[in-house]
Amino acid sequence: MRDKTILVLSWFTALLLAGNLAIILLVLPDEASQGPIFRIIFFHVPVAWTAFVCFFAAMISSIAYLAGKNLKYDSFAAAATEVGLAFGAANLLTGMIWGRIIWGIWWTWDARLTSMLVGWIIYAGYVMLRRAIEEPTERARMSAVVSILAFADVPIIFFSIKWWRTQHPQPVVYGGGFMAPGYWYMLFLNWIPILLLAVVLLLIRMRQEQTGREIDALRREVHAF
Amino acid sequence: MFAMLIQTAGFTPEQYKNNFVFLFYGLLTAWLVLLAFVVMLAARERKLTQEIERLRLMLEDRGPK
Repeated sequence: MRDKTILVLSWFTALLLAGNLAIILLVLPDEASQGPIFRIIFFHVPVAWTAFVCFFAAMISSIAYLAGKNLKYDSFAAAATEVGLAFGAANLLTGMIWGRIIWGIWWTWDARLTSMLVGWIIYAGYVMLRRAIEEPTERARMSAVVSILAFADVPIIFFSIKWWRTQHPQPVVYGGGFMAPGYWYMLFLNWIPILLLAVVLLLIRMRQEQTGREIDALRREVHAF
Repeated sequence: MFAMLIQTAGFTPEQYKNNFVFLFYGLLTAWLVLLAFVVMLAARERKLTQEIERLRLMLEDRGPK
C-alpha cells in the first residue's frame, strides 16, 4: 500500500514540477534588474522553506520521543532531518550560484548565509551522531536532544535578515522586500511539488528506518542464541 | 522577442547569456543534490535488504531455539 502511495505521489510530483518548470522558463518574463537568473528564486526559496519544515517536524518528533519513548518518533525525526539536509544543501548551493551573478561573489560571511551554513553543519552532526551510537534507545535519546537544540538555529536563520544588516536581500514574504504578483504566485505554486517531493523522500526514508528496526530486532534474536 | 528582452533588462548579449548559463547551473545543481540523495537512499535500501536477508538466513540455519 505504501509503495503504491509513494509511486503515485512521485508521478504527481514529477508532473507538477515539469509543468511549473515550463511556466518558469517559458511563460514568466525576465525580472527587470536581475534578468533570467531571478527565476532561481522559485527553487532557492521553496527548498529553504521545505528544509525548515523538515527540521521543525524533526524537532516535534524528537520532543514526542522524549515524552513517550516510542522509537517510531525517533525514526521520523531521523528521516525528516536527512531530507531537510538535502533540501538545505540545494538552498545553499543555488544561493551561491545566484550570488555569483548578482553580487559578483560566491560567498560572504553575512548573518543569513552564515547562520544557514551553521544550521546545516549542526544537522549534519546530528546524522553523524546517529551513526556513532549503536544502542537504539541511547541513540534515540541523544539525537532527540541534539535535534531540539539544533532547531534553535532555524529562527535565527529566518529572522537574520531582519535582525542584522545583510548582503542577502530583505524577505519577500513577511515584509521589507517586494516581488511582482505573478512571481509571488509562482513561488508558492512551485513550493507545492517541492514539498510533495520531500514527503515522497520522507516516506522512503521512513520505510528504511522501519527496516532498520527490524534488523535491530533480528540481531538481538541472533545474539540471544 | 529575445533581443527585446535583452534590451529591457539592460544587459549586453554576453551578460544575458552568462546570466542564463548561471540559471542553468543553479537549476542543475539543485536537482543534482536531490538526485545524489535519491541515489544514497537507493544504495541504503539495497544494503538493508541484503542485511535483513542475511540475518533471516542465519536464524533459519540455526533452527528453533
